[in-house]
Amino acid sequence: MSLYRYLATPESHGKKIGLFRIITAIFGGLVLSYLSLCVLVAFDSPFKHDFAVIALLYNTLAWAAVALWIALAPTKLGALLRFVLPTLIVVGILGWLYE
Amino acid sequence: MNEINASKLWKQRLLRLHAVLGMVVSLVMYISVFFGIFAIFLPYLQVWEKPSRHIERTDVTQIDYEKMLHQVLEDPNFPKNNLLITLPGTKGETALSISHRFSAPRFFNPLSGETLQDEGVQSQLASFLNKLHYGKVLDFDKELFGVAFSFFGRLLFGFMAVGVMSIVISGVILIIIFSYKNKPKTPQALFSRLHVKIFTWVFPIFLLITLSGAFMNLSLLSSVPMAKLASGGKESRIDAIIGPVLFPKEEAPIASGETAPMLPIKTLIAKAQTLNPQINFQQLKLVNWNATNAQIELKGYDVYKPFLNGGAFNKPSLILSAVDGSLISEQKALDRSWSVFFAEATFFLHFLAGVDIISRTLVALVMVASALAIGFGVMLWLEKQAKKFDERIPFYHWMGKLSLSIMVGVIPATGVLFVLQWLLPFDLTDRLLWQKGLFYNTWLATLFWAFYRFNTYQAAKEFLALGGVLFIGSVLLHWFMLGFFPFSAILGVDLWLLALGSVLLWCARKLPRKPEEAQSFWIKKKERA
Repeated sequence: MSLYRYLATPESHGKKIGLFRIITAIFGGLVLSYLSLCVLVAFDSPFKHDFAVIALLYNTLAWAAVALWIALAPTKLGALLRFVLPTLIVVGILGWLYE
Repeated sequence: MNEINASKLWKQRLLRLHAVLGMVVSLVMYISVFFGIFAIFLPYLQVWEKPSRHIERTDVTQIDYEKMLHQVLEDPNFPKNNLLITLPGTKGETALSISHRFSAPRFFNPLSGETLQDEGVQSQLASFLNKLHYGKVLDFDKELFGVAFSFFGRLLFGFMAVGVMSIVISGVILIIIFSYKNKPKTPQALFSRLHVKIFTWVFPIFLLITLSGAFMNLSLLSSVPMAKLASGGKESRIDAIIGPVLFPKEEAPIASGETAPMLPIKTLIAKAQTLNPQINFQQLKLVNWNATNAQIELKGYDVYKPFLNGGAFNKPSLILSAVDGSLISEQKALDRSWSVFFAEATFFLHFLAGVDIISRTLVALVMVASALAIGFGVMLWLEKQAKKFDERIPFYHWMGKLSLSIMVGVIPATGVLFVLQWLLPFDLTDRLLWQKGLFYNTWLATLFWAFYRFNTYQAAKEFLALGGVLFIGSVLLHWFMLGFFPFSAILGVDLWLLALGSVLLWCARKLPRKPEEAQSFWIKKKERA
């Protein structure tokens, strides 16, 4: 419970980012952005090859954007959820598509 | 937790993230941008740096190709089929080169047809500047240390580029939500204003170039999981998935046993030019030469469709029969899949393939502005740090000294690189290693000097003056060693370096001498503008 409270309580000010947010943003952002773009490629569409080019081209930009989005969550818990929930969905889709 | 407080926290955090991330990556980004500006002029620099390339430019339809081709075909050690002829003028090169996938290229003087004594590893100034641009910083050929460190540098620059993209996105949001309009009254406010103003104008170009840079340093290395997931575990190389789109396979015909006389190559080029007058031809491929089914493939850049072709993926081409000059097949600039144009558009501003000097200069000016804006960002942060001391003690911060050495100290260090290009004899053993070593030592020396000089302004002025003298000196040495080359790209580089040197000397004269003068200097300058 105390861990939940530690994560769910908003920090008193935003002048310190904190290691928790930094790590969640960098690694969570990487995993989420990379796997999301993999979904684009994993679909059996007529544009599979084209989507692969797009995914490769823009995965670093997606990483940058997603990491920023995660780091700007209102609470530490929020940051964690912004990483975990979409990632679970994406992993589900990928698992379903995997032959 | 009320809404207002949450919004305040969000803004605070956004600003903080922008500043912290900026301080972490700014110096690496500055290095990349600084050397990138030299890399923009790489085609001209690599001609300037080599005495063997100081030859006149030629019209590609007036060259006697057979004379040079004959020398290559007679060499028993050179492969014969699928020879590549790179035309003079391609990427600024003045020489004509004949190469093959499995053989080192041969260089020729297109006017006389004689083999050029290429300087090879003895002269790689432009290539070294380019390596510094993308993080291959300690490239000691094949030694393990050099290879490992180059790999590390590439990753470092790649991660830096991702960080920069985060900064750009957060910066754009900051510009939208805050108004930066009040008249600056302190240097800090002025730096903030310049940092914001410059990037408001150039951020789309800056973002696009950073994105393509991040792609080159990171995406291909990290493509294995994507290839596995996309192919259901069957492929581990991404080429299997992107290859069919980006690099379609060419079918190679088998040579017929009989020989036939070939049309002169200059006739074939002229013929291809009439078939597609929009293409600027760069490379020729000779397939089954001297056989009855011989073909010539002419690749180039469609100058009327920038952003869509010319880079690494889309090169319009024509295939002609070399016997009678009839058209066998044609690939126009717009004949490719849509993702290829995305890729070309993303890379166009970074590679600037086939682009002329004016567009290159424009992009270079945008990058100079970006480099200055990064500098102002760092100075803004330093001003904020200095405020904490409230002028009770003189400000001496390690970050200030490190930035001074990296951002300003790099100028004289690069100047040394240019001077050594003409000072070291071309037959010196390990010439490039001496050049690189002295360059790094000079750069390191500027770090010591930055820490030694208490007054940062004075040290900056000294670095700028030294840099200016070195750049001007390198041009004078060039003229002294090789003479004066009127009206050519080589003279262009000379003039460019002279202008750079003069600007540096002018800055060294104009910048304030003491911290006390700084306040009036920056604000007075603002009023005059």
